[in-house]
Parts: sequence; structure tokens; C-alpha cells
Amino acid sequence: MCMRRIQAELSDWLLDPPEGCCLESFEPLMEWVIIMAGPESGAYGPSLYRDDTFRMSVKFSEGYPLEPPEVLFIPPSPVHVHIYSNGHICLDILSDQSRNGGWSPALTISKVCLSLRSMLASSTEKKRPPGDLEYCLRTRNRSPRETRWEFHDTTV
Amino acid sequence: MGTPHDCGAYSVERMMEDMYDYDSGYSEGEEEPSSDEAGMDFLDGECTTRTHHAQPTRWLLIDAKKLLQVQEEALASVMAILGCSRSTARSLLMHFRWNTETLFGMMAERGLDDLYRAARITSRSAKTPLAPCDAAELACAACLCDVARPDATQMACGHAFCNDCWRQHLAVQISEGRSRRLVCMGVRCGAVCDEEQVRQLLAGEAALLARYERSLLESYVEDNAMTRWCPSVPHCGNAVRVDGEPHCEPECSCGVRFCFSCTEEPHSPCTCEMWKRWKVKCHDDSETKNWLTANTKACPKCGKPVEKNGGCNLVVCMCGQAFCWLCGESTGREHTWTSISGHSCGRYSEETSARVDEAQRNVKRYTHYHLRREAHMSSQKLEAPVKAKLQASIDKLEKNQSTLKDYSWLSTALEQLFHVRRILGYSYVFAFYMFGNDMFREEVTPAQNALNQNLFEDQQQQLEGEVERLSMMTEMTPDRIMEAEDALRLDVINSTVNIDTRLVRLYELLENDLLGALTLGCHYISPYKGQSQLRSGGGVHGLSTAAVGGSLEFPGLGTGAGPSGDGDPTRPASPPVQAATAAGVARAAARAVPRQTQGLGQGSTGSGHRERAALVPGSPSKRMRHDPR
Repeated sequence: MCMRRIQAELSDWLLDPPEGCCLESFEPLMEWVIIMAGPESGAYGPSLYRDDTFRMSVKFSEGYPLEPPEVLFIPPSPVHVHIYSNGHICLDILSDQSRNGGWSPALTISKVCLSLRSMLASSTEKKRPPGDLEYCLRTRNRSPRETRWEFHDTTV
Repeated sequence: MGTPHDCGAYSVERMMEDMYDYDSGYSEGEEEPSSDEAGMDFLDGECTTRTHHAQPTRWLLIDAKKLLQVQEEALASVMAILGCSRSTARSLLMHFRWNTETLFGMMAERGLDDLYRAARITSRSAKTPLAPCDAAELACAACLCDVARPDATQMACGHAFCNDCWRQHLAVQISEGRSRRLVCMGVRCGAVCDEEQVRQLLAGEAALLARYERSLLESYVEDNAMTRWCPSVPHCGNAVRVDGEPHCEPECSCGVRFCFSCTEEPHSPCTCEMWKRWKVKCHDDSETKNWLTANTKACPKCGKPVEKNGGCNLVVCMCGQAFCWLCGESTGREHTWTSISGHSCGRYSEETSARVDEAQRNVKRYTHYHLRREAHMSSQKLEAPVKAKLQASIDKLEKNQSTLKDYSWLSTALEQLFHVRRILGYSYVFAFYMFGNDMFREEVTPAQNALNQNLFEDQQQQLEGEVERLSMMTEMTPDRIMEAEDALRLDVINSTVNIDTRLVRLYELLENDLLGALTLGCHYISPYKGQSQLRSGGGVHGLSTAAVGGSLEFPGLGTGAGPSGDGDPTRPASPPVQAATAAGVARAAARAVPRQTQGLGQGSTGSGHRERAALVPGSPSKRMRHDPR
């Protein structure tokens, strides 16, 4: 199921890529690298990230799409209040621990990219999350899927 | 006539029947399914409540068969009133921890929509658009394949996926232990999947389905504040539901008795908090550490603890290092009795010695209470074979001369002895915390505390005296049981009744005057189930054999024949110690003062607690020899 679904998603992406994103590599099929341009316009006028470009790593597991993919920015990551400097992203749809909502098998990488861009677009301040340094030291090279996230901000 | 033990088991069975009667009553379409209220109804006027706990506690033993039944009853009542599906009813009940009363209360107060929102249930009325049902094919959003309509399933929330994806999703959720909340796969949906649809989808996977069903079933116990698994090891498979006061000590049919609030061994009259602390205290070596801090100092050079065994304040460690005993600093060896040359630390000395005093006193207190508790516990162990032997001979005698003689007076006494030993043992743990200057320091003044302690110890002591008397008599009985002399029988019966009365009084004191007077926080103990209460407690519905109300009843004898000692064996209709706290304490004061002066006159330590010269005055029993030294 996992391979079939990724194939299907890949062909969908190639036919109709999400705005501002392109695939850098999909070799092997389970590990994609996506290049994402910062959104042009934000909530109040031009976006803070409009001249930036970021690289993202997406890793699928055997359980995909029932399990969420591992999505993180390849440092340097965007300076954002929900993105740590090691690239980990605090976003409920990337976790299956969230009580209401969270990851759903009906979501795709393309939809995740859209969510991430809108998260960047709505940012009003270039700031790291509190305790960024400590978090990066603690997690070192571990996957963000091992972190227990606490979702509290419903505005972005 | 059964023994008190039988009475206990008997009341459980009775209860099961009662509960069953009552439950079937409301499932037949009554409008008032609040279990507590109805529970109170049939208890009305049943027993006089002696304590500040308003309701007498009842418990219901739930075995595997019963579990399904009680759960179905709860589900049925919710489904009938809300007119909802079974899985909605189940989710609601899980959210409200299977308490139908709060569920219906919230429904009446806030309405159905708020009720669903609180339990995070997407009801059918929610605005999720239904997927088009008429199309022959459906594009499954999970595997991105087109599947024929019959191979897809649409949940109540409106999201449709292919059956393969549903199956895999459910398999993951169930194997990760989320059976009780199987949510829809839709983006930000979170609605709970319908049970029937889940069963259909998992029809081919017996193992998964079994796990799912089991998890749903056990939710009634695990998500329910009023229900607990029996803590027996290996597990007997039963659970216990309590209706009313959750502070009680139910007994499972497997024979295990436990404290319902903390599932530990029964520890009344200790509160759960006290018992928790006591266990920690007994298991770690905190007292060793306390002793070390109180009596030793670490050598500043080698770090070994050094105890001063006499002499002046210059102490020399085995390693040769000399140091000052008062402050622990290393010094030279040049010194006199009062000073060490080139060293001065005079200001610290008072504080240090105060700390040492305190620690020493704490160790002594702990040892005192620990030893006394242990004494009762070992007495209980020693009495067990005596009890077994006696019980055996009673059985034999009753079989041989079935109608001639009745020996229930003796088995009642034995059972009473067994229980009262345990209660006495735990009462020392209670005393350790109640009258120590630790747990209730902010609430009880030292003067008040001393009064309370005197009051408590008086009653405890009298009880102990009576218990030892009974213990002695039962030990002598085996040889004399054949004759069953009337004098002996009278004595045993009197003693049993006396103990019962004293226990009731002791519990009144604990619940009303000691714990009831505390204002910060609530401290509950499991109430004493007097023997008469056990019997009359069973006599709720159509029970004619047991004596209802009044005091212990002994066949062949009037109740309370010939009071011995100062206690009145017939329990008064209104207990004497139930007066208001202030009055009780005033009376206690009057009694306590002469005792205290007398104690000091005898040269007791005069520190925080009063050492009793002998634990059981006037008791000839040999087993209670346990000096603190």
C-alpha cells in the first residue's frame, strides 16, 4: 500500500505541483527533498520570507499513509516561532498524537507543503521558539517523530 | 447463624441481588436512572449512620459475566434517553467515566449539543458534508485509488474510504491501544467510528476484533471512578463497584480484601495518605539516615560517619584526623575540656543540638509506633493457628451434636479478634502521623494535639486491654470447649460485645473529633463495619434470619448479659461520643490532665510523646512483651 500510494502522490505532484514548491529529488522513492520558496505575501502586506528559499526533507515509513511522514527543514531552517533551528516543525498535522485532528491518511505531501507555506505567510515576526537551543541539544539527530508535541497555538 | 466472616460474604451476595433487582427496575423504562439516588431509596431507614459519612457504603462484585450486564444496562439507559447509537452512548459514558448521573445532569443543564461537544463527538447533526453516495466509484483519499462503491465504507461523520484503508487504519489504532477511541481518518475529523461498522470491517480478523471487544468491555472498569479491579495476584478477573462513599474496604469473592481508594491492603483506621507515607518510611532506610544525621558526623578527612562516645568536643576519627564535634571542622589536637585551641564555632552549637534532639526524637517515635504495630501483627499471626484449630473443633462438635449446642459465640469472637488485631495494628500508624508534628502541623495546635492524643490513647489502651483478655480466653478455650462452661461463654461474649462497642467509639473519635475537625483538605478513613452493622446491612431486602439493629445477638442468650468492666455492652441507640468536637475535647481535657501529671510523676521522658509503662496494663498474655529497648 505504501509504495502504491507514494507512486500515486508522486505522479499527482509532477502533474500539478503545489505553488512555490518543486521536487529536488525522489531517489529513493521513500525519501524526497523539496525546495520551497518563501511565500510572496503575508497576512499584513509582503511576507517576511519572500526572498528566502528553503530545502525540506520528507521521509516516508512503511506505515505511510496511516503513519505521518517525517517532515523537516534542512538547516538553515526558516526563522519562525514554530520551527526549531535544527529544522523540526511543530505542526499538528505532522503528528499522530494530537487528540483532535492531527495526521490523517487523507492528507498528502502536497497539502502539507501548502500548510507549511501558509504557516510561514501568517508569521509576523522572525523569531525562534522558546527554548530552541535546549531543544536542539536534547534531540541532537533524532527524528521529530520521537518528540511529544504539545499543540496550543491555533492561530497559524 | 453464620460467623461474621460469613456475614461479610453474605452481604456481598445480597447486594448483588439487590443491585440486580434495582437495575432491572430502571432498565424497564424508568425515568430516574441515577444509581445513587435509587440506591439510597432502598437503604432508607436501614441503619443509623453513626459517622459523618452520610451514606452507608455498598459494593457490587463484578465478575466477567456481570461486567457485560452492568455495562449493557448503563448503555441502554443512555441510548434510551438520548436516542443515540450505541457507540455514541459508549463514547459519552467513557467521557463521563460511566457516571450516568453527571451525564444526564450535564444534558439537562447545558443541552445535547454541549454534551456532544464536551465528549468530542461529532454527532450526525454536524455539518460535515456527506460524500456523494450515488457515484458507482469512489476515489479513496488514503490510497488514492478508485474503488467500487460496495468496497468502500462511509462513517456516520460522512467520510468515506475504501475498506482496505479502513481495515489497516483500524489495525494500527487497535494495536497501538486506542481501541476505545477509534477515530475517523478524515482530516481534522476526530469522530468516533461506529462500533457496528468496525465489527463489519474487522470481520475477518478475529484477533484484532477480540482485542477491540475486550478493550471496550474493560472500559467499564478502567474508565470508571467507582469501579476497580480486584488487586489479587494472579488476577481473579473480578472487579468491584462501589455505590456511595468510595472509602471502604470491600472483599472480593477470591478472598482478597482491599482499600477501595488506593487498592492497597486494608489499612483502616489509617488514611490512604498515612499508609502511603508509612510504607515508604518502612521500606527505605530513611530512619537509618536520620539516625546517622542525629548521632554521627562525617570525618572531614575520610568522610566516614563518626559517633562520639564520650568526652569533650574534640573527636578523633579512626583515620587520625581530629575535628570539632560541634561544627565538624578539622582542628588541631591541642585542646582543653571546654575549648579547642585556635578554633571557635560557639554560635552554632545550640542550633545543632536542637536539630540532633529533633532527629533523635523522631527516630524514637517511629520505633515506638513501629514496634507496637509489629506486636499486633505478629499476635494476629500467632492467633491464626489457634483460630483454625478452634474452628475445626467447633465444626466437629457441631457436626456431632448438631442440634444440642451452638458455638457461633466462639466463632464470632475469633473473627472479631482477627479484625480488631488488624485495626489496632494500623491504629498505631494512624497515631504516628496524627499526633506527630508533621502532617497536620498547620491545623492542630500543640495543646490541642496533646489532648487529642490523650483521648485517643485512652480509648486505644482500653481496647487493647479488652483484646488481650479475649485473646487469653480463646487460647484457654480449646481444652474447655467441650464443657462449654457457661461462665466462660458469658465472658467471651461480653468481651466480644465490649470490643465492638469500643471499636465503634474509637472510630467515632477518629472520624468526628480528630479527622472531622481538620479544615484543610479532607481525610477519610474506611468506616468500621461493626458486626451488628454487617448483619443488619445484609437485611435490606427480605432478609429475615439476621438480627436487625441493636447490638450483637448471641443465640441462647439475651443481648448484653452482665456488663464487665466499665463498658456498656449494649450499644446505646445514640452514641455518646458523637457530641460536637468542642464538647468532646472539653471532656477529654478533664480526663486527660490528671493522667498527664501522673505520667510525669512516674518519670517518663516528658518529650513529645508519652511512653506508656506497659502497653497492656493488667493483661496476663505473654505474647505482648515488647519493650522498646
